Amino acid sequence: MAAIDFLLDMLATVGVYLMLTLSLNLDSGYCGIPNFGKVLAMIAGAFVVAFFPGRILATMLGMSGDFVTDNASMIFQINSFLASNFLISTALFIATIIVAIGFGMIVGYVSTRPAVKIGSGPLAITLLVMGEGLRVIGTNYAPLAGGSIGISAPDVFAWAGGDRFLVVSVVVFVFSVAIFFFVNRLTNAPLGRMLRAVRDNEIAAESLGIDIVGVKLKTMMVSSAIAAVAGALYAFYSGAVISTAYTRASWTFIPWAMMLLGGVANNVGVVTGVFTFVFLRKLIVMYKAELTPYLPFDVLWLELILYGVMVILILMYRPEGLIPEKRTPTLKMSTLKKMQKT
Amino acid sequence: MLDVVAQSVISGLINGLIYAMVALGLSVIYGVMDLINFAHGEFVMLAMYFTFWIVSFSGLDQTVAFLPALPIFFLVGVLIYYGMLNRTMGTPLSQIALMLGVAMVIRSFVQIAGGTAPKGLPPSFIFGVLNIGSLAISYSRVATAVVSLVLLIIVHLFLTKTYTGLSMLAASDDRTAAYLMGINVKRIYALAFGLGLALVTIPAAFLMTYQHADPSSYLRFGLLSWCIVALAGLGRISGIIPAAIIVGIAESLVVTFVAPEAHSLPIYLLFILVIWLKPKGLFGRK
Repeated sequence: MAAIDFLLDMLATVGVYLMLTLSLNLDSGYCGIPNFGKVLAMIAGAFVVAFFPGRILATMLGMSGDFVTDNASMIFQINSFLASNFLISTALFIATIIVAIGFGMIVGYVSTRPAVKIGSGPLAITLLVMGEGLRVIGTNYAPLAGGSIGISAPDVFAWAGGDRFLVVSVVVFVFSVAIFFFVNRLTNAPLGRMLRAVRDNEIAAESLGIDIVGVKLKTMMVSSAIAAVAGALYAFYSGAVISTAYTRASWTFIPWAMMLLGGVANNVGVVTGVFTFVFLRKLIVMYKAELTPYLPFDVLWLELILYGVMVILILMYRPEGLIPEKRTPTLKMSTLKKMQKT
Repeated sequence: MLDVVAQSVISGLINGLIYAMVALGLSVIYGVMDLINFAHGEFVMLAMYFTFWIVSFSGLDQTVAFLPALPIFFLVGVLIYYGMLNRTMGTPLSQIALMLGVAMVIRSFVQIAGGTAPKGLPPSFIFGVLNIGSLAISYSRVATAVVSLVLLIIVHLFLTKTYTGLSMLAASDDRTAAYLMGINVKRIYALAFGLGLALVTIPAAFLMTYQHADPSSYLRFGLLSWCIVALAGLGRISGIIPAAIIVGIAESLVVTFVAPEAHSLPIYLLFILVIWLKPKGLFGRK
């Protein structure tokens, strides 16, 4: 049983990181936007889960009291209501995901707009500052997501009873597979070539009539929407939103490390990177107990050093990653001729 | 009421002068190399821990503890440039990611070597409190602000009066032209990166006269420095002082009148507004 739980846990972790890293690959890998604020859209998605569904249900069920201060008792009542209402749970889940997509798009636009016309450095810092700022607001302004203590989210998978963990992990993973096909379709179309053109030479791309600012903004909107979905799903999966947990290290640096390891601007590479990385991480956690007697400090800190060194080594010696970027497949000449005839 | 405002403004002014010194290293690196040092806050934190270790092992005073740390940081900077950055020159995204990797290593190193508890030092030879009316400011903060001014003037004179400094400015203006004029651009970049890191040790040592070092201080100093550099006009040394004073006063006013926890929000807000409305900075070159 423990082995299954372990695998399931890995499935959900892989799913969330897959969504984040694919969205990072779309904006940073393909379009060349220095998105060092991936955590921003992720927090946005999580805050949507923290803010909307619980309050909606509380009003619907006619509960009195403050959602943040009486969180525990209200969530308990809400969850026992949701456990027997499959339809309402699912409708609420889908509605929340849609709101998260919309909110993610807004956040993507707002965070990129100030610095989109200036160089990559200021843009990188702006995105980072926005992510950090939203986290600070979330930590100190309790009505949004319970402040530093955090808040419980309604469990829209309560109907599954004992299999809740299984269901939610599978849902997260299915979402990530769907997003893989979506991003892959997007980047293997002429759009993907346009994004690469913007990344490789802005002046050349502009001379060919590409609206660079527009392309960058739209790319950030789509990728932030994906990251917001990842954040919302992660919040539903863990059942709580704690602002202090959304750190730059776990939700910006690790996706970057995964992307660099797998291969920039290669979706299959990104998938490889995510799986390799999560597997390595689980190995470290598994052998943590064996290492602990020999080390005078927590192995977790060694873990981050290893990631840092790994990123440095990859960038120095194999900047293309495990699976290098490939040309986008275009239609074959014979297919084009056939199309011309018909 | 007016009294409280005055206190808040004076305290912010002193803080701003200190912040100017913290942001100086970042500004030199960005101005000369056009490189965003994402590990700046981490290096400030590391230098603060260095000061702590040097003082606790040798018994030196904090105010001179930067002397052994300065050459080490300079050397580390030169090595990082020749070992890592040189290979990724011309690919800004990889450079930023590289510095992020360095940042992660420093963060974990500090936690491993220094532990999670904040580290403070006994007071230095500068102690006591300066009373201006009802306002009390510790002498160590005033001293730090004075040191900051002196250091900024020295760096400004170095960049505008010496041959090496002028070469740095030339390389930042036009890399190719500087190269054609016989400037060894790689060497200049290595020097600039070394200088940028070395300049971190002095503010770190003086910060330790009245502050604790803790493993999360990188966050504060990193974002603070970026904000000051952006306000000053990216890469302008001369704009740092007014920019830092604006940041210091804004922070101080928010802490006094809104909420102490929100001290970083006005800085972020200022940064975003400046980047949006005046991307060349408030005191940038026309």
